[in-house]
Amino acid sequence: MTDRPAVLEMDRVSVFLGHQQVLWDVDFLLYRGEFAVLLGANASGKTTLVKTLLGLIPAAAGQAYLFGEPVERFKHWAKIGYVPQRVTAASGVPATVEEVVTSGRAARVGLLSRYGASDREAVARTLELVDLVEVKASPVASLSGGQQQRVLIARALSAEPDVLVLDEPVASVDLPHQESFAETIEVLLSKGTSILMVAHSLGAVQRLVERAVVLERGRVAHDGAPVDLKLEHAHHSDFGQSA
Amino acid sequence: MSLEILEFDFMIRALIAGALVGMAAPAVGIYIVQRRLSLMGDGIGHVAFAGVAAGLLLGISPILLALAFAMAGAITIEVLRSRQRTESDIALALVFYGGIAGGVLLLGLGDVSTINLNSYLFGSVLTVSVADLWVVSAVAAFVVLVCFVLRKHLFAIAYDEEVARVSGLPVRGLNILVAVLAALAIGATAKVVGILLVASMLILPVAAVQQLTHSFRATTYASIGLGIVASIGGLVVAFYADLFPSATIVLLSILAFVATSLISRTKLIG
Repeated sequence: MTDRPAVLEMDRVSVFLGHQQVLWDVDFLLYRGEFAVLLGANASGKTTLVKTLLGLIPAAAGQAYLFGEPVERFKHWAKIGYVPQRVTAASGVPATVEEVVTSGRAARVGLLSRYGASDREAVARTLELVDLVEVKASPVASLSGGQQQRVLIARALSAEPDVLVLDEPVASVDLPHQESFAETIEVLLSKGTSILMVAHSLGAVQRLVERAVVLERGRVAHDGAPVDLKLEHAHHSDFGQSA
Repeated sequence: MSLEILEFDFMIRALIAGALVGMAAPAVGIYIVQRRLSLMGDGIGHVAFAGVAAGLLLGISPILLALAFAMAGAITIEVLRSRQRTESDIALALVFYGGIAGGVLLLGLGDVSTINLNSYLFGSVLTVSVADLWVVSAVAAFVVLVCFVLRKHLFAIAYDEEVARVSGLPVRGLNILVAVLAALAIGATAKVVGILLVASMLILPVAAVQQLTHSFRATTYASIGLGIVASIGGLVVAFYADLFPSATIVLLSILAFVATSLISRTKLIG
């Protein structure tokens, strides 16, 4: 299909959560600069696949690779940006949008050093990109669901990753912002960022998607052009309802 | 108001010790609250009890052994928690009861006076010795310094552990560090408010101020400020009203919590 190198790769991976098998012999590739979408019904194993790729869940069999290296030995985490699936971006203690977005760069500064001018500039650029400049001093908990999801996206982007992994990033984003989310994705792709997005349905990014992988009960049911998506996902058109 | 309170050396030592733990406890406590592990402080405190018992039994400084036991307990909790993430409450329970049972067992082996024991269970800030004060000062300075220097990384981890791990931060090491810092703060605080109330100093100031603050930064500094004010205020009130100091300090913190709740509520309505 392409001779671009793979940035994310899974080779016959099986995963158990507790005693229950969630993934069966999954092969997966994300090529450099590509925008791929991982689709599937609830509990089809999408989030588990992503977490296994990122080394958060161990594989029982098979191997996940990041930039060609086994995930257990991977060291260049600054290349990876991760937007987890969260009901809320708020946490136990109040924090402002700017504080949370800046925390995405924590791993980039040494344990004993402070944030510098380049960190502040990257955060400012990211807030601009995801349209959160006006609320940067507001506590995250006071924002709408859609704004909170943009905070999570901005936290990942502030570290300027080469690969972005998004787990249902637009579940509670309203329509106008889905269009601006698509524009953000377009900007990132033009900069050469590789993107893997987990989604229930495609929405506004459909025009940008190069490849779709569909999971069904932990197995890959489709891997290729996103042409048959409408058929495959006719019964998942409830955008915004996904958990 | 006369400054009669400052005419007593024991009172001056108590005020210094109170201010120091009032500062150090919320400085690390904020990361415990952030991770919603408020009960962890109690777990560590219970293990510190076993340390106090061992100290009384062996005739070694109870405060130093409390610190050592608390650190061991904190590391145990953190390791158990990271291995079996779904059952962190069980991990806490094991350490909780193990600490108390171990302490009682140790006390039973020797002939420890209940007065001495009570002073550690309920605090005895008025009997802080010069040697104790050195230990408390060193611990408080260390805890505050480490929390300040590593605040970016500790915040990132406390806010979202999974994302922090994927970003490449040494999450396990820093979580153990926070547990150790909490243990140090708890060991030092035990002398002031007692083991049964020790975790309140880590949690209550943060819980109180976060109802009014918008940022993590403001919550950090305001909770440290409230910790110091509650400690000193509690000691002064207890001195003049002839009350039990540890209870007065903790009840003042709870009063602060009630006050901030009311203020935040009227703000919402208004």
